[in-house]
Amino acid sequence: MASVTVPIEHGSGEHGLSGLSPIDHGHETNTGISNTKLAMWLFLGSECLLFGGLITTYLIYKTPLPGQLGPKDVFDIPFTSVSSFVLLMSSLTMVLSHSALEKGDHYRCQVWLAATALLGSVFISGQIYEFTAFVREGLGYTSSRFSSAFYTLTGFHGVHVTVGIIMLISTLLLSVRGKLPKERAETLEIVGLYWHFVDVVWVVIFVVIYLIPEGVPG
Amino acid sequence: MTAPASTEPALADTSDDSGRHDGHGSHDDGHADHTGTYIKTALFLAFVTALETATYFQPTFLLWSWGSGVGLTVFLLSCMAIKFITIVYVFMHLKYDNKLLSIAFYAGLILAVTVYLAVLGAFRFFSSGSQMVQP
Repeated sequence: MASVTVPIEHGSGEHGLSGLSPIDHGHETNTGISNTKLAMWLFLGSECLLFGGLITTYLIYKTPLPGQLGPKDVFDIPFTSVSSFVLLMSSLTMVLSHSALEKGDHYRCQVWLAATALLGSVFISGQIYEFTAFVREGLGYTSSRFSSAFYTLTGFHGVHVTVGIIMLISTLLLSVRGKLPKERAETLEIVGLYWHFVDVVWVVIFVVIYLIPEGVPG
Repeated sequence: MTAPASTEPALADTSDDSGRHDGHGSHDDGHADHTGTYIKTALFLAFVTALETATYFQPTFLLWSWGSGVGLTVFLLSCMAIKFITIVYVFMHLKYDNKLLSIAFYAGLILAVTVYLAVLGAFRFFSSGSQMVQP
């Protein structure tokens, strides 16, 4: 009996994109989920422990000693509220970008990606401005235990946002060069997961650090 | 190694998807158009953020001014939890995705919350008026 072996090729041919790694769609996995996506979710779960530690440290050290600047002396809530809103809206542009790519609308995908990177940059610019203003008021990194904990926490978050912006710009460049076809929407989804997580962490920081500095007992 | 005669590509048969991912696990509507849902969600999140910010400008408002600060804390933490869950479920697609991804994320989250609540308890964070860390 004659037999025919049919090679399984994923993601090649249709777009004529040489040099691309095989598209994950259709690969069999033990879990039934993309390994990359599962890895990202596990990474985000571990990030909860990182930021949990930093937030806890801040809460323990937040009370300034007599004569030192405290949260109430330096925080500019209206300014931080606008920053929070900007980051929140960047999550919307991120999902709209992913949604556009799934529909095969590359132009809108790129526009929303660029908007997300821009909103992220606005947030980071705001954080740099905020840090500069605090330092001018006399709150340096080593001024007090409160300042050290505050700068470490918000600085770590800022680094995460910066990494996210780099990922967004890289993905945008891939898309502009035609290397992000509809079939690779999962790549953008994974970048989006990271970006939304950064937003979620700020949701916690905004409330716990900025809005209830004196509300929590201690 | 050879396979039985067949002229169809191996992945052409989509009748059995077990062990095969589509990027969204077991749900059926992973690639449905959720644009309207996303916009409504963003508006909802903006509204909750506005409420949070309002507590700063109107600290004596009845809704959150009870219990000498406890009401404000409870209200803000509730808003925070609502925003957190909304983003994770809608924007991060956990609502539509495989349950295993929820387990992976919430395992880390619950572990973090438990461990750090214990740490805060050990530092007497919840004991009103105590000095937690001596200079």
